[in-house]
Amino acid sequence: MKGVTVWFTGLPCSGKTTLALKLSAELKRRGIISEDLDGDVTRKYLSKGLGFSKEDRDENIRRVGFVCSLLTKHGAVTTAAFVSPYRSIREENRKLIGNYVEVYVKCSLEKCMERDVKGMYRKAMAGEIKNFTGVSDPFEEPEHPELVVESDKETEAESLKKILGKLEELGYLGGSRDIAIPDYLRRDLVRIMAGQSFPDLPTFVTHILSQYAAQNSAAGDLSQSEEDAVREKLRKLGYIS
Amino acid sequence: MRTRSRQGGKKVLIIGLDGVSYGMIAGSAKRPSLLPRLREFFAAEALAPLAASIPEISAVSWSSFMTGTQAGEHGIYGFVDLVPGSYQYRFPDFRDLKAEPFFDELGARGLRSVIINLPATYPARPIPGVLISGFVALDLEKAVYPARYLPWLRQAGYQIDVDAGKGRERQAEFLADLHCALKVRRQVAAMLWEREQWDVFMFTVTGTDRLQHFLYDAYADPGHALHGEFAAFFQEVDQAAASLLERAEAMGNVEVIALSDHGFGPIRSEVYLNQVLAKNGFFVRENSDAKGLTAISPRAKAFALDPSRLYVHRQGKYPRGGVSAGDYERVRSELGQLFAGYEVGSSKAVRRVFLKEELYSGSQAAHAPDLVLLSAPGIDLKGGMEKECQSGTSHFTGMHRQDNAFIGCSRPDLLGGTATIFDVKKLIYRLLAT
Repeated sequence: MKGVTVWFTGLPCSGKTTLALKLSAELKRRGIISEDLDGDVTRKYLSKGLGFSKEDRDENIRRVGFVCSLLTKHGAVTTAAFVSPYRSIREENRKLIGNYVEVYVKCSLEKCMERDVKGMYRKAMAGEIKNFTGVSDPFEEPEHPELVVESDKETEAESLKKILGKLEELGYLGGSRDIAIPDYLRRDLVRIMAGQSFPDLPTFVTHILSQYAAQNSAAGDLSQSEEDAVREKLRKLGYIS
Repeated sequence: MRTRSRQGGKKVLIIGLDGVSYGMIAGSAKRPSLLPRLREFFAAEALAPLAASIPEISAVSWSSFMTGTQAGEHGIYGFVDLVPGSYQYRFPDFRDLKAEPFFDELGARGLRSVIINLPATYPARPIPGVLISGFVALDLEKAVYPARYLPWLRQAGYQIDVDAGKGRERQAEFLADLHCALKVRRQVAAMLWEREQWDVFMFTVTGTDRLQHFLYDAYADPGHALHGEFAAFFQEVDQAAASLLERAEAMGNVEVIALSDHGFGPIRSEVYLNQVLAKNGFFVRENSDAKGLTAISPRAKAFALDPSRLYVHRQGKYPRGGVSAGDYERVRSELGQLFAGYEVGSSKAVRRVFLKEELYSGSQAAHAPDLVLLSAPGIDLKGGMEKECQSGTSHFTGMHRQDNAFIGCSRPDLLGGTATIFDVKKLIYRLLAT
């Protein structure tokens, strides 16, 4: 997989981090390790001391964007889950990062407030928190995001499916649409799949490929030097005499 | 650090301790447990002796552990075998395993495993999760899946195994190497525990076996100069196990199995089976100067492979085999009688002679040895092809035992029925289903 930053933007408590983590877990299951950035981490290590004024928020997002650009340039997959309310800084990051997929996690204010277990919206409405996006600070909706997921209308699984589909469509995740499956493999797949239940297609395919790898590698034997090395190891332990 | 999202279902931690006997962990009035923290974790009813495979060697026993089958199905009968139809030795490896390991089966159900240092899994191949092969792995590059962990392991100084050659004469260095290898392996385990999503996590220590081969006398004799060093290594193993147990407890949904693949005991004498066969007219070579099995004579009726496997030299199966199908049972019976009565120092060397059909069945049974010997305690059976006598001693002071491996389980109510290494796979599945 080539490097890419998947940038989740949306109101507080809209479900950005949840979806980013879901995506990360699914990528990991497919053997792709992602670097996951969110506000809790970067506010502690990258942007300590910055507040929530527009300038400070832009600076925070700019710094995160810079880190994403480095990770992406070196082939890493990065998920970034930030409110990132201002359009201009998001566009700045899009240009800087290049391989950038913006996911707008759209959610009604009412639903976000309902999910807000920490009571931040309540505090913002009471004036206890200043510059709170959605209450006392604007959220500038993306004009051309790569994807919109509606977290108040879709299940997490549906949203994740859409994100994975978009990544495949954009060529960041390998698809199998262009691979012709040979007849012998098709027959084997049918034979092996018969009578077995797999939770999903990727699990099944991983299983099959593992079996094929095992069968194919069985054809190889140790080289003479490898045999000598094994013999020596076994002799030292008295396993062969 | 971000916490993993683990949803539903139990997970299983497996701690593999190569060659650790039941007595070593359980302790006794005379000799306290060498692994007290692990012992404490398992209540008395949650710890039991475990019967290993026959022969009781890691390649066979760990293969049985991971597949839940005996060698007649998984096809691994020893560290060394013969190329079919020849007298050339070959060294079976993970590619020869013919039964499905639990991590593949679990992968088919969408579950992931992290397997660290499990013997008989080299070369590493893709599995649903992470695999770092154990003994007899040669090249780290071929011992790691997925390969993205290779640079990290190299940087960490990960060693597949220590140089056992030092165990004979440079024992202080050998001990230091064992500590060092274990330390790095623990770091790797800690990293993978955090980084990977897993349902089964297996961490295997093989230094316990290495140490006992060379320094079992140090364990047995409190006056031995390295008695304390021996215990110190086990103390570190105990700490490694304890830190994994703490992690498991912190997660709250992890059941635990600890087990060994075979036990250990002191060596009284080594017995060289090919010399016994030669002395009794079963093993004959073309000329007395010839070496190895390639010089076997058509007059030879049998030969032995390490550690305790006997093969009838059959017509049609071996290039110079002279025993006809009609004579096979007679020769096999004679061999059985020879070893059933064989004595070293006026005590029996063999506890039991097994016919192959008593031990093995399945698709790979055709490759089974015709007879397998289970040694009496203290008698280390070896092929001894180039030895000049029938028995003797060497620098090895400890030997494998089939009858005193151990198993511990965090669910004693589910442990019942897990009497052999072949039963452990089912136990893993039962624990995952709780």
